Amino acid sequence: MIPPLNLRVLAFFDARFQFSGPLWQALGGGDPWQTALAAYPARRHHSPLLQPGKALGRYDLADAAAAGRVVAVARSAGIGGFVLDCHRFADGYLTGADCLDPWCDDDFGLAFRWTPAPAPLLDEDAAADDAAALMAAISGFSPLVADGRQVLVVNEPYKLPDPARTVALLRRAAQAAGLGGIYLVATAAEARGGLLDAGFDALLDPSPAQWRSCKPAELLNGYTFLQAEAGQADGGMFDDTIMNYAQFVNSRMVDRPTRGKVFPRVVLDYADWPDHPRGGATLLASTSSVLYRRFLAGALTHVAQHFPEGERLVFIDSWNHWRQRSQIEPTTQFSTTVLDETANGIRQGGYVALTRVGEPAPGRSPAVDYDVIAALCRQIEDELSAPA
Amino acid sequence: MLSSLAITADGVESFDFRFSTGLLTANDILDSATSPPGRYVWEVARRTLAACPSADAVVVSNPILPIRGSRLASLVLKGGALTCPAVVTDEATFPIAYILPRQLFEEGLGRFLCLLSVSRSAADAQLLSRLTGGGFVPRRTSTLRAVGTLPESTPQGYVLGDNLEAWLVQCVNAVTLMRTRDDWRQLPFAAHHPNHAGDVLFFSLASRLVPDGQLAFQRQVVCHSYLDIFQDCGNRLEPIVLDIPPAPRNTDVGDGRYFVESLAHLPPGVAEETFIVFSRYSKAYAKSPFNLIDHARFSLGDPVATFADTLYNRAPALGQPQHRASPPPTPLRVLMQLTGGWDLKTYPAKDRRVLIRALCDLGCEVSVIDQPEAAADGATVVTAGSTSALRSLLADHHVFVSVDSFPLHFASQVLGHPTVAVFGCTAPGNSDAPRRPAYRLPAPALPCGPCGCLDYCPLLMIRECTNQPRPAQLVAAVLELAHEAYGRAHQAHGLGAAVTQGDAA
Repeated sequence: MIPPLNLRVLAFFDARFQFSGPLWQALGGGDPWQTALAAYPARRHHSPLLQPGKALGRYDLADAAAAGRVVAVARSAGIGGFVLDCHRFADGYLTGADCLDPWCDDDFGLAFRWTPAPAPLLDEDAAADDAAALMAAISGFSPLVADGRQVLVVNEPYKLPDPARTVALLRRAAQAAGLGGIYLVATAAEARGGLLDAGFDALLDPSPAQWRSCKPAELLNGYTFLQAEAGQADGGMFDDTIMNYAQFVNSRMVDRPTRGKVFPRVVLDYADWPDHPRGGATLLASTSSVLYRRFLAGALTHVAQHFPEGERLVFIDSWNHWRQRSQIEPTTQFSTTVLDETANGIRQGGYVALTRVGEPAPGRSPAVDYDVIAALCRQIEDELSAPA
Repeated sequence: MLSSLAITADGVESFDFRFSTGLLTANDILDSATSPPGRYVWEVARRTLAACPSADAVVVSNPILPIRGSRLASLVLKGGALTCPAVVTDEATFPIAYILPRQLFEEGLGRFLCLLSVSRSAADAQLLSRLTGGGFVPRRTSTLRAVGTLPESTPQGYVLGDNLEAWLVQCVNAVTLMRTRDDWRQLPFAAHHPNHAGDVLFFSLASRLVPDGQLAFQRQVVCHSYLDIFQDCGNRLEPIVLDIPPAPRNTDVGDGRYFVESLAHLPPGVAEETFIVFSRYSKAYAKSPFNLIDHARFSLGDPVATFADTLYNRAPALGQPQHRASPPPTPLRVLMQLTGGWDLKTYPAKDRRVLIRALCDLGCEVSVIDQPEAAADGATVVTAGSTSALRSLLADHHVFVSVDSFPLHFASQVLGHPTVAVFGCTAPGNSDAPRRPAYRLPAPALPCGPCGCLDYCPLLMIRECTNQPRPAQLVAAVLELAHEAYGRAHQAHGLGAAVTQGDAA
């Protein structure tokens, strides 16, 4: 199933689930599933990690047939590509893309996510070498393209000392590697901060842990707080950030057009407590697959209405980040429910987008001065809010 | 989830269908909330026979149960030779599938399957018996453990409860009618969809879009208080007027219960000569992305099988006029309907005040329907108690701003008046108009909608919906429409501040 109107849904993908090959060796071998799933809740509010369902099981991506099954299941749900992490190793990068590439084509491509090294570690020449190594690692595979260029997501761009320089470096390296051009997406919530001015082509909503877009749920009252402090109850909730899922998805979609060219990141669930055993985890509470479907459908409608035809991307976080409980793969506990809702969301979003073809883009009539209207309405709101 | 088996001389082929969530393929069937489950038995059988033309019979699963094709095959094929027709039950008596002969469809009797009870195998067997010549129709017990108590609503969207009784009553009444009338094949079908105003409008427009060869209904039961809508919207069906009040808008009386009780109030003789099909909501309509006009078209017999068939691609078929206001071009006159069928549809009071004041400050004349408190902000309060009153109000106003309610649908879908649609807690795709010039929909962006709540926001626990567009969006949309529909005339009068200089020149 391919969504209409050039809509593409990508899913973040962990390629470490393999039992042989360079990436497996570089990461120290062992059982990657064990590494991902061996975490047990220490707090009452920590939901246990889910287990892979029988549809795909604990696959080994180094096994071509297993990798093919994964891609086939993703395709059938309407997903158009995976986003793979670039793992820094020795003087280069490893992505694991070679396992998936044989199953990719124009309708299903690979994009990559790169987390820059901490700035003090790289001088000018080292940074150029690093960019060249990065491009070498991501070239040669079936690319997922936006605006005709391979997509590279830059994680944590706010840590870059000079974003414009990095962008220029990456573009030069891409040219040198024969990629022709590269479509750079910075992980940032809104167009303020100069990332688009620095040369990034678009932005992408950060993850729930990177951007707490709504205020935490107030799940505990003062009495419970006192109880926890007195040692009569689990005080872990005070150490973690818990967001109500409905409020979280609303906060991610509210006033989106004002945030500029930011691709939506659709999240079903998120709980990174396994990596924050002493507190500081981010969790979503009261998640709902129905709301997830609407989140996904709404994101598709948004990009169809606001973004150019070759740049209509929606990201799902994630396909198989089991350790963060955000996976949409089939699980033992919920079978294919989430994957089915993913497919439903893509179908629904595609349909709604089709029904709105020809609708004038909001706020673009040359006959109307929108700033004057906004100012007038703000002024009246202030007048009405003022005490009598 | 819907499934079927095609029975041929060579063997059995199983099929899986889906209630469509947006895609319309040979295996995706339009999700229509106004269709009783039996309508899906008909549609699944029709598609199965089309896919397998050599089939002598077809087995269709009960639409309210989630049965995969492979499971259906294992349940039906165990236990000796198949008889046709038959009702397959669980290990008790609950119907889980129907074995239907091809001949039933060749004789054009498929529409009678809309009358299945889907909950009582005895009643369904009686119906199939009548449809297939009056012989004995056996119940074939399967190995499925007893279905047991059904939930109030199913993951597929079916609302059970009172609706189970409505489906049963329509089935029993149909069997009774077939027993008493030898000419039952010629008797008309009536869709029981008597209220509310917007729904009557959708059904009326749907009746105009269903091709003659597919229209399975000849009549529609409609409340007397909505008869003007029925007529002014050009409904092709013959009205059966129900002279009792419509069901209340809250959930005190469910659609199923209202159906059953209203049958006693039908005009004399109607029940003795009409098959009445429950056509109010069998499912939760907001689960489906399709327009309610398409829901109704499917109910009336149109398969709406591809995207090209849907309303959004077929709008010109309604022959929509481009209705325009007739008063002098200045000042710009704006009519508003800011309350809907339930409280949460109402545009928030504070935003309403900003909206009215901003338009007045820009030199517009604002009229608001049935909201006396709007007068304090400079609006004229008007009333529109009938379609003719609404029509004349619209003729006197250049642009109409309305929440999701009957006046919105009438202005945008029947008249084609310049309209700004305001949606918040409901899904626009269920009831907005196809895109055309002079129509604006500042779509709600929050995934919490449609929430299905009537009088409070389940997220914020307040009595307003925050998913409504902001006043500035609506003011901008009004001015855009004024420019689009009436050209530059309005810019001469007080709108200069909000209209760009270049365009005003």
